[in-house]
Amino acid sequence: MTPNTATSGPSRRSFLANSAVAAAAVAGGMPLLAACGGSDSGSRDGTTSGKDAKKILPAYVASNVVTPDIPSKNGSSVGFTSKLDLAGLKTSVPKKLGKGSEVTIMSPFWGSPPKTDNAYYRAMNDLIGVDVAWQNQDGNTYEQKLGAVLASSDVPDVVVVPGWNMSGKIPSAIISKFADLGPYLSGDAVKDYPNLAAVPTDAWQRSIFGGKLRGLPMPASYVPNIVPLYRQDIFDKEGYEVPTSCAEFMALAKDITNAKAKRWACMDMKWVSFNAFGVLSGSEKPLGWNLVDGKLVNRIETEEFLEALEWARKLFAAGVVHPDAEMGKNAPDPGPKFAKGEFIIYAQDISQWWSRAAEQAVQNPEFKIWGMDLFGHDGGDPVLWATQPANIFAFVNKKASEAVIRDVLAVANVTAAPYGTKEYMMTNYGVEGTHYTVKDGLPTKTDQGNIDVMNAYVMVASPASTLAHPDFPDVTKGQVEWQQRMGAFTKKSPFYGMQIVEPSRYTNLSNDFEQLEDDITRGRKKISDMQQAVSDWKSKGGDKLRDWYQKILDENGSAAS
Amino acid sequence: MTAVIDKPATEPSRWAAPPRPVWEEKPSHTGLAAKGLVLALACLAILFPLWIVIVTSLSSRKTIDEAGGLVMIPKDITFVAYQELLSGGQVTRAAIISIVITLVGTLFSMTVSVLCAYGLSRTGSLGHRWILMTLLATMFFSAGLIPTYLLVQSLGLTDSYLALILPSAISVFNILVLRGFFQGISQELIDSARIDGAGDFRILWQIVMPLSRAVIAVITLFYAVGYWSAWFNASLYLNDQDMMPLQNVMIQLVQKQEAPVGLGQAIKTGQLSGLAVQMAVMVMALLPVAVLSPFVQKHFKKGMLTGAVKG
Repeated sequence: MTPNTATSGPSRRSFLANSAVAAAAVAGGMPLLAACGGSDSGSRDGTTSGKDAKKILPAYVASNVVTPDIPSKNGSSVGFTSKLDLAGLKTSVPKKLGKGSEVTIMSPFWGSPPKTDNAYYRAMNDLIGVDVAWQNQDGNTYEQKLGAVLASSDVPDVVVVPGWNMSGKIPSAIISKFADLGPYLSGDAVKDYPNLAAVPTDAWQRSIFGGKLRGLPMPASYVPNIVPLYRQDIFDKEGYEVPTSCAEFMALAKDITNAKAKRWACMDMKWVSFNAFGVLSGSEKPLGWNLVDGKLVNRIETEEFLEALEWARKLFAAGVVHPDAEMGKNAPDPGPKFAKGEFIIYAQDISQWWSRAAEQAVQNPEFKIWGMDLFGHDGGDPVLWATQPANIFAFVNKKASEAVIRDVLAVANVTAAPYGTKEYMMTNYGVEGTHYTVKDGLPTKTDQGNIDVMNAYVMVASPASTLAHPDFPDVTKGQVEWQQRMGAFTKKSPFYGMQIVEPSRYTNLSNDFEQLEDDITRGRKKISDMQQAVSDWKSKGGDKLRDWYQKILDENGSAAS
Repeated sequence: MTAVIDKPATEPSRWAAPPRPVWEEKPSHTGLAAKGLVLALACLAILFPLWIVIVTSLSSRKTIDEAGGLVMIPKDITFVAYQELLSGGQVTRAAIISIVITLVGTLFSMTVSVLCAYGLSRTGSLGHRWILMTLLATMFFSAGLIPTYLLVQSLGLTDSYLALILPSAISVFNILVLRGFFQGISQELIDSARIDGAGDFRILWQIVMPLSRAVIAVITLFYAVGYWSAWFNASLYLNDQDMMPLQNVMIQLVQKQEAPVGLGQAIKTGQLSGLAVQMAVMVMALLPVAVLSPFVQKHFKKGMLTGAVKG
C-alpha cells in the first residue's frame, strides 16, 4: 500500500466542496416546490423553480436494493457501519444499459491521473457497456481550461463542472453548449435508470440550468458541512468538557492555552462563530439572502454577522488561537500540528473527521478525533442554515447524438449505484484482487488501486449522499448522528436548492468580504470597516441585487418552503 | 642624488601620499569579523530553508507530526517520499519529455530570434521598422487566453508537443536584447566582411555570432529555463496524460495531497506525509538548476547587462 494523505487547509474551495462519499441529502423526493408563478426559464440569468421546475424534474423512486444501517434523518447522509460482505453485494444494474458508444469525458483531477488504458477504466467500461475515454485535467487550473474549451467548437461529449468553477462566462456557456436531459429524465422517463431515479429531488433541482435539466448531480448534504473537530483523547486526559456556548468555549480555550508549552486551544473559529450566531450560509451567494419581515436581507447586513465576527475576533485577541491561523487562507495544512497537539480544536469539512483518523491510526493509536456539536452562542439551540444539496455536475454536449446521451446516462446509472452494490464497489474501489483486497470485511486498496482508482467515474453522478468508512464504523456513526442532530436545527433559506446565475455586473460585488472578515477577526481591521464596506456594497449594487433576487422570489417562489 | 632621495624622509609626511588607499589597508580584526558575520548570516539565510526542505523531504510522517510541520533536526531518515515520486516511471518519462522539449524548443527559439534580431539590427532591411513596431505591439497587448487557445486548436496543435513550443517560442524582449547587442558590433567589421564578399548569412555566422557569445549564452539560458519550467501550456493544450512534461507531473504529485476536502480522494495511511512529498518535489525541481548554475554562471555575469543600454 503506497501511503500518503489527502489534506487541505481551509480554503474557499474546501468549504464549497462536497463529498463524493461523505455528505448528506434529503431523505426522500418530497415535493418541495410549493410556490408557483411566472417563469424565467430560457434566460441566461435567474433560475427556475415552482411549477416550471416540477415539469422538468425526474420522478423520485426510492431504491430498495440495499438497506442502510443508519437511515437518513433530518437530511443526514445514510450510514453504513457493518462489515463489507463481498458475497452479499447486491446488483442494482441487472442489465447492461450501454450500447457501446465512445464517450469522452473531461473532468478535473487532483493528483496524477493513471494511464488512459488501465484495469479500472477497462473494468468500468465493461460493466457499463460504454467506451469511456477520460480527459483528466489539472484540477487547480481547471477553470482556465474550461473557459477555453467551452469557447471552442471542440467540446468533449461530457464535461464535469464543479460549482466553484462556475464564474465569469462559464454559466452562460453551460446553457448554450450543453444538452437538455429533460426528454430522457423528466418525470417517469428517469425510471429507465433506477439508480438515477433514486437521486434526491433537491439535487436534481440544483441541476436545472437556464430552465432545462442539464446536469447530472453529485448529491450532497444540506446540513452545514463545517464541523468543529477536536482531540477527544486530549480532552479525556485533561478532563475538558465539550463547550455548549460561546462563553464556555472561551473559558475552555483559555484553560487549554499555554503558549509557553506550545499549546493553543484552536485554529480560526470564524465558521463556527457564524453558526453559533445563526448567520446565513456563506457557502454560496444566493444562500446569503433571507426574507425578514417581507424584505430580503443579506447575511452581511445582519447584526448576527457582526456579532459573530466580534466573537471570532475575541478568540484571536485572547491569544487562544494558534499563530498559524494569522495567515488565514495561506496557513499550512493543520494536520501535523493537530496531530502533535499544538492546538486541539479546528473547524473543517466533515470528511476530515474520517481522513485525520485514518491518517493517524497506524502510527499514533492514541489519537482520537471527534466532532463537537455546534452550539447557540448563548447556550441554546443553534440556528443553522442549509448548504446546497449538490455542487458538482456532469453535462452532456448539445451536439451529442441520442445514442451517446443514452450511453452517458448508462454511465451515470452505474456510478449512482448505492453503497453495498457491486456497481458501487467497482466505481469506488475498482476490481477486487487487482485494486483492493478484503480482509475481515475491510476493503483495502492495493498500490494499483491507489494509482488507478482516483476521481474519474465518481465525478459523473452519485447516489444520495452516503457515509461509509468500513475501516472506522464508529466515525461513520458519529458523522451521521452529528448530521442528524445538527440537521434538526437546520433551516432552509429562500434560495436553497436553486441554481441561480447572478447577472455578471454583480459578479465581483462581494469579492473582498472574505478577506475583510479575516482581517477583522485578526485585529487588522475594525468592525466599523465592515459596516463601511456593507454600506458601500449597498450603494454599489447590493440594493439592486436585492431587488433582482426579490423578483426571482416573486416570480418563482421559494424551493424550500 | 642622495639629497633627492632623502628629501621625502626629512619632509613632514603631510605632503606624502598615504602609502596606499584606504581600501587597500589591511582590514581590522573587528571589520573582518563583522564582514564574516554578515556573510555567514547571508549564507545561513539561504542554506537554512534549503536544509529544512531537504530534511523534511527525508522525514517520515511520524517525525513531521512530532515536529508539527517542517523538520529541522533529522530523525529516522526515510526515502519513502522519493520512492513515491519515482515509482511508476512517470517522473522518468516526464523528465525525458521535458529535456527534449527544452533542447528542441531552445534551439528553435534561438534560431528564429537570432535571425530576426540580426535582420532588425541592420538598418535598411526590408520592412524593418514596420516589423519592429509589430513585434513591440505584441509585448504590450496580448490576445488573451481564449483566443490563443482557439488559434492553437484551429492549427491542430492540441495534444501535440508543438503546442508546448510554438505558442511561446518567441520572446520579443529577448529579440530586443539580441538586436541591441548586434547593433553594437562595429559597422566597419561588417563592411569589410562584405567587401571581402561575405553574404549576410556568412556575416551573421562568422562575424556577428562569435562576437556575441556572451549575449547568446544568456538568451539561450533564458529560453531554456522558460521551457524547462513551463507548465501552463501543457495543462491547457494537452489532454493525454502520457505527454505531460516534468513540471506538470510534479504539480500533480503535490496536488494529490491537496484535493478539495471531501472529494472522496484516496486517503492513504502510513509513513508518508503530504508535506514530505511537497518538499521532495521541491528538491527535485531545484536539482537541475543547482547542478547547471556553476557552469553557466560566468556567462551570466558577463551577459546579463549586455544590450541593456541599447534598445
